[in-house]
Amino acid sequence: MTLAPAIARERATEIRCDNLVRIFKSDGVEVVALQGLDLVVGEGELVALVGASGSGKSTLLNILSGLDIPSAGLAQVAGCDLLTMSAGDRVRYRRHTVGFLFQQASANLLPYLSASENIQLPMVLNRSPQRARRERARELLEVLGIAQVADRGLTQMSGGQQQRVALAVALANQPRVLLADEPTGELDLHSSEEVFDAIQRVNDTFGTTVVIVTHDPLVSEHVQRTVGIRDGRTSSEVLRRKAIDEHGGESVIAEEYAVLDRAGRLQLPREFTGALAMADRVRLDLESDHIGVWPDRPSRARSGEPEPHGRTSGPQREAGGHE
Amino acid sequence: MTRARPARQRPGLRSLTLVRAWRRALRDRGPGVLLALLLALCTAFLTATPALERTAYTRAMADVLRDAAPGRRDVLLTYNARSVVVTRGQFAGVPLHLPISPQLPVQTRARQIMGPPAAQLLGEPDFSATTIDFALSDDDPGSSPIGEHRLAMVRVQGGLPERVTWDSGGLGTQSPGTRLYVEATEPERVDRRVPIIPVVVPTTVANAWQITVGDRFELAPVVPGRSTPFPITVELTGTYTPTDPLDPFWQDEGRLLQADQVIAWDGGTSSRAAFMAAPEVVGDLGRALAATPAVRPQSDPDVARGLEYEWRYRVPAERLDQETVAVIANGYAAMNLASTPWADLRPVIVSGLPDLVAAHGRAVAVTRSLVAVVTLALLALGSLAALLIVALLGARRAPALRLLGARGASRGQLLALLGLEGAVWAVPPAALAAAVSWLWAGPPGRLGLLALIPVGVAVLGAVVLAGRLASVGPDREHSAARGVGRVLLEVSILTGAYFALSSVRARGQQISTGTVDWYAALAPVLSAAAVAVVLARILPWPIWLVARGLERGRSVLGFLALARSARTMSPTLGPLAGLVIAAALATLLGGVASTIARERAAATYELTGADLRIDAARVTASEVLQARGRPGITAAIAAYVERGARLQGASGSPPLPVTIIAVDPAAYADALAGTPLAFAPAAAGGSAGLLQGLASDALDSPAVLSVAVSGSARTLTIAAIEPGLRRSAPGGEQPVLLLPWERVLGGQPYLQPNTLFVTGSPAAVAAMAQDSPVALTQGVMDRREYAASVATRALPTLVRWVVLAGLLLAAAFTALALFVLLTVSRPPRIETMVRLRVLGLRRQRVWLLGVLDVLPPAVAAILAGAAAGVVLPGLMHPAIDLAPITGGAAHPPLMTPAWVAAGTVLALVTLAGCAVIMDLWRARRTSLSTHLRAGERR
Repeated sequence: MTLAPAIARERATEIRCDNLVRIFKSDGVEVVALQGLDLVVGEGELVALVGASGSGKSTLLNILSGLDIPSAGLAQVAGCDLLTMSAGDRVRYRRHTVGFLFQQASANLLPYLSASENIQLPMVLNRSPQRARRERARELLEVLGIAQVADRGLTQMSGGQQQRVALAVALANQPRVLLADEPTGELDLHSSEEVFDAIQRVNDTFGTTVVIVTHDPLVSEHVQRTVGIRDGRTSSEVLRRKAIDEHGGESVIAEEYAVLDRAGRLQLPREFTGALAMADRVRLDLESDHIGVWPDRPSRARSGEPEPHGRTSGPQREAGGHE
Repeated sequence: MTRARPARQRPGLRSLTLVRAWRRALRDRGPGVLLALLLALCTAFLTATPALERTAYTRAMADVLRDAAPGRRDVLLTYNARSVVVTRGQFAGVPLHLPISPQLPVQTRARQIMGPPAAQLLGEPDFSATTIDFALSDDDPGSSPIGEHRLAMVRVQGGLPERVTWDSGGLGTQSPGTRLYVEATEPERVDRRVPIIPVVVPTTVANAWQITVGDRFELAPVVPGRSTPFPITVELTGTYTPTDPLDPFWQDEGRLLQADQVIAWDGGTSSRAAFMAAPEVVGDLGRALAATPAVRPQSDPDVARGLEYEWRYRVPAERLDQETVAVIANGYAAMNLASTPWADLRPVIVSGLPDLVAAHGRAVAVTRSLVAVVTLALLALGSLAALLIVALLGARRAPALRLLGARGASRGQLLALLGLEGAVWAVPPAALAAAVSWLWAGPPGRLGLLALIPVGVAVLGAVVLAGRLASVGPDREHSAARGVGRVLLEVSILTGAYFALSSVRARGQQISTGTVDWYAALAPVLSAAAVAVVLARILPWPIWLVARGLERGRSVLGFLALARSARTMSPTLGPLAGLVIAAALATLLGGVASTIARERAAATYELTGADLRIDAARVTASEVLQARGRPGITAAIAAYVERGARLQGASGSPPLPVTIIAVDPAAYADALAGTPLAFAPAAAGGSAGLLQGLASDALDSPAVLSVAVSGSARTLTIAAIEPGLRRSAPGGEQPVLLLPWERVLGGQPYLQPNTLFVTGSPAAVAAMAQDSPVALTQGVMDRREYAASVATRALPTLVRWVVLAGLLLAAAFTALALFVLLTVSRPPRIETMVRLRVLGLRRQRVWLLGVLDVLPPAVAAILAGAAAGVVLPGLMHPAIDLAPITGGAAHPPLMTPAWVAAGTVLALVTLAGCAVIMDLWRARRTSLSTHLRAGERR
């Protein structure tokens, strides 16, 4: 059993994906972007999704944001079933339940509106009263530290400011979940820090559940939980916690877990299988406290050579953990 | 004191609404302005055309009536009572029967039969009664100088005093006396005392004939017969000068103004005049012409005999339009059909009006068909162009719409936003254009509603596009459905084109003379669309093959551009289809325009037979020499022309009416060399006994024929068929026989030329038309002037406008399609350019990529469209009869000459080249660093 559900159990479940499948059809060819993905995110959690290009991160995020519909499986966000939801429910879901942050700041904002107007726009779509809209816009701009850009246009702001305004836009209707697709991907280090700080502040201040797709180590190594996605499935998770040593020093301990899904499937890290030249099939040995995974080398067994000691996939202590 | 203008409110302080926010998007107005311009043009054309059509059709009726031969539009009732039944006996001492005039009884019955609407329109007729031409002799030899060669008829016509000034005397209404005629005719002697008829003549006649008031003349039949009237005596009571010689009153009988000349059989001339008498003397005239004793029972009808009566209902062209002409035509038909109501006074009713109405109807039907073809083609092109621009607009707005969708905008809100923007760019310009068109051309009528189609397509297209952008999940994955949809669309277009062309071929004749078949009118645009469909399917292959060839030839740049062009053709199919249709339409219209010009020139040549034709009673040799001597005149050839001569073929077969042109074949052929009438004269010849002629058409007849030339039978053989000899005439076409003048003269030495064919510079010919060198000129026809007059008629003017507007709009649509093509293909092209420049391609060579990327498919589309435009006239020929526009023979061959097609292709390819160059010039300004920094945001 992985630790993630245990963590999720501590909080109410905000996002639940169970055996999620998304198949695209392109020119008659079916592409399976998600192939039975499982994910549970608790309320108020800040989770990073990492993975190689084409692993299905953005597809997952699009599904969670209501911009795409899964082909099969279960996808629930804040109690909303994303598979069976009607078009009207989907609109209401996008208005109230989730906020979405695209990678490119310019894609998050309408260039002909000021920062304040951009923030008000989702509330306009939600038919919020004008006064409430202005109050909310001002509040968000202040919380995110960009009150000075309220009347500025897109081109009058830096990349970091643009992305923080975009964050404010995503949060305008006080969503329960914030989904961000590589929000710092186009930013310099300083701006990335500003934006990530803002996201953390939002998570802390408003208790918004945050799911970030990222390649940025600044982000992925500073969240409590990083979920790795490979070939359309969750493959691993890294959980971080703070530890105080005997000298009172504080360090972050990161523990990487392989994810065991409900069907009992386990994805071994590629570097592990590569190091032992595991391919096609492996031998499993059930011990009293662990399961041994052995390369398929029947010749060694026949020759009576001692079996090599494998590495467990259980909790590992990872040195450091700081970036 | 001046009021300070309030400071403009900052956008941020105004209450934000979705519409207000979207209004800011309208600042990006490129596609919107283009859409507005396009729809304004389309709407102006589609609303103005029906109004202009309506006006043109009304004016065309006026043209037809105006151009009709004098009197052809009048309704003419004639009652012939010229034959006289001679009653023998001694009647010198008994009163003669006094017959009546049928004027009022016939008028009354005609009014009743034709019905009040027609009677009201026609008004009162001009009544006249005329005798035959009598030979004139002096009643009292020696008292007046009348000698031989004088012919005169007596004409009774009301309304004379109001239209003349009396130079001497006046119109007598009572007989000035009687005269005793004694006729010794075996076995009985006839004597009778008859009234003398008071008459008047024009002063010009009195002077020419040297006669004065008080002179008496005896009028006797030239050739007395059993039914000819008795001789009568008239007394000249006055001479007059018309106050307005152009008054229609004088049109029916030229001799009311002056004496005319007739050529006698022996080549001499006779002078003919008309003696006018008052309507009050009809009874006396009848009593004199057909003397019957009062005691004898009269045979019905009891009207004065020896006269032909005429009631002419004049129809002024300016009072007529399509509706009133129809009313009159109905009245005319009623009079013709009626039998009993006329009783014993049934006149012969003649009018050219029904023919004119029918001719107008045919001309209108033809024009309507042609206009429908152009209108529908432009409608389809306009709708396609509107769709393409809306697609561009949608592409510009897609990021914003997707963002709004992600932020919670409902599908309805997105549809409303893009639909509203589409409407903002589409509806006001279209409404404005419609209003301007209404003010300029008049109300558009129901057909003007067609203008709503492109506007609807634009707005609906925007809505559909917004719907697609708003769709999520599997709804977006419609590539398979799109593929099926494309195939269905292609099959629909191909099937539609096939059936439209079948309809044209099967019902072409009906379409060209009947009502407009809108489906058949779609044939050109559907055919062009079908060509576009085929092109879209096969074009990638040749482009790919060329790309492979370039690859082998180590032209990497060429290979890259063409390979990309071949592989990513789908987004450019719309603009390419637009190019094909626009090129096809431009070529087709070019073909129509060139056909009209060519056929009009040919038609005018066929009508005149040269640059100028002078018809005369006689053309003398000195007159011919005088004509040749005028500056600018290159040829003047005298000819004897006889229309309606009878050609007798095999025995038993009816004679064929032909037009004879007896002329010097070589001289005439020289004069016509290089014109549509050119012919080879060599075969003409023969002898006076057996003429060798040239015929305009193959005649189904034996080798030796007989033709009556001026009444004398001549034998001839047809030596050759020369289509250049075809001539047209108002009365219809007849085969033409060209006979050698010298040989004809050999058998009929008294024959005199009656036509002068003249060629020369426009100014010299125009001067000769104004000042004919022929003394006995009867009519002059200037080819160029006639062509100009045909061109300014209502229907040709309408067609010219429609063709010109169609050509301009086709060019505009071509430019638009090129713009869209360049815009759609620009992002990947610039991407490739930048990549290649990063890899080291010199900036100067970048142009090649753009040229090879866009020009080959564009040129292929233009060529395919032009090819369709060349073929289409042949396919549409059955449904398009340009005769009413050219003024020539029916169904002239409709074809697009090679030079027109080549010119169209050259113009459109030049346009495409310019567009590509402009696009490359824009692309060159793209900074490499800026472009690379923009990254995936593009």
